[in-house]
Amino acid sequence: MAVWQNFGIAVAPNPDDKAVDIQLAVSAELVAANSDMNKMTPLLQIWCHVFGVLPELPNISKVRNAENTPTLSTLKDSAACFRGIERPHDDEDNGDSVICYVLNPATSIEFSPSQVCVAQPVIMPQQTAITVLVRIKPTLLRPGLTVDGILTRIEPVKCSPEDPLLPNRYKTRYRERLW
Amino acid sequence: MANDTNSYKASAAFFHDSDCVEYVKVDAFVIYDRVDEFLTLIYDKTGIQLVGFKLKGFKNIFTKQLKPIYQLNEKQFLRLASAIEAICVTLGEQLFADDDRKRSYQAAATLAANDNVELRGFDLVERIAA
Repeated sequence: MAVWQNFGIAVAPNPDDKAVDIQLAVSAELVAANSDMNKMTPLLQIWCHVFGVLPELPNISKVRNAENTPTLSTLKDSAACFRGIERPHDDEDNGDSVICYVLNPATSIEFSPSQVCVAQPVIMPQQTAITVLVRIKPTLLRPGLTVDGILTRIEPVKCSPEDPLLPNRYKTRYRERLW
Repeated sequence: MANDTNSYKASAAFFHDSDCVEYVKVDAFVIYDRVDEFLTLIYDKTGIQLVGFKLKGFKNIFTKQLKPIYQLNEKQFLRLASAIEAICVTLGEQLFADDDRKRSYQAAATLAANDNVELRGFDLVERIAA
């Protein structure tokens, strides 16, 4: 696993009290699985949209200085937060422990096959948002790890024409909207 | 920096933390389009070309439907086209009543079959039981 794939602790708003911060670890399995496949894009997106920094890659200045440089944000910039993903999830019938943060960056990031820098900006397609799934569940936490939850997914998702900033059919695919 | 040794190797992976199996052909910005509680289709950034799929609640699907049939050991592989077919059987009439939903499952099954997408038995038996 490369050095740039060592994520620290991310800060996010408490789903139950937006004014209070919680701490999240990035799923070690998520990082390892992508690393094993040499897949970079999801990890690049976590740096930009969860940690609010560009990944430390050679010649990343090319991305920083690009006309449409990636929108750097953290989960504190979330436009919405939902609880419960309304489907079987591990040992939960309805995925009630899963929190979904929704971000609306103008520009994201992806792997680039360039010889100069392996990342490049991507202007977000219309009616697309970034969702970040977090499990607030003690059983996922490794012994000695003092965080409030684990970030398990980051996904650009299709939004609805009626509400282009929120995931498609958000009223039925999530149990409740927290904010 | 990108070379053959470090290039993306498209393969299916089971993510225990999020209880899903995902297959994506490309290492690029993609768009996830939820079909239902079991299936999400994954498109390229134009939103037009299908480049992958995600099967959700996979622990439940595997434990209840696939494991009894396939009796997988760590040396065997599970064809994901078969997993998609198993979901379709479970959905039954619900699927046939919804053309869009049915087409989505067909598209995912075709992609899985054409790309010969498989999961290692070890990944399932050991990690789902964990």
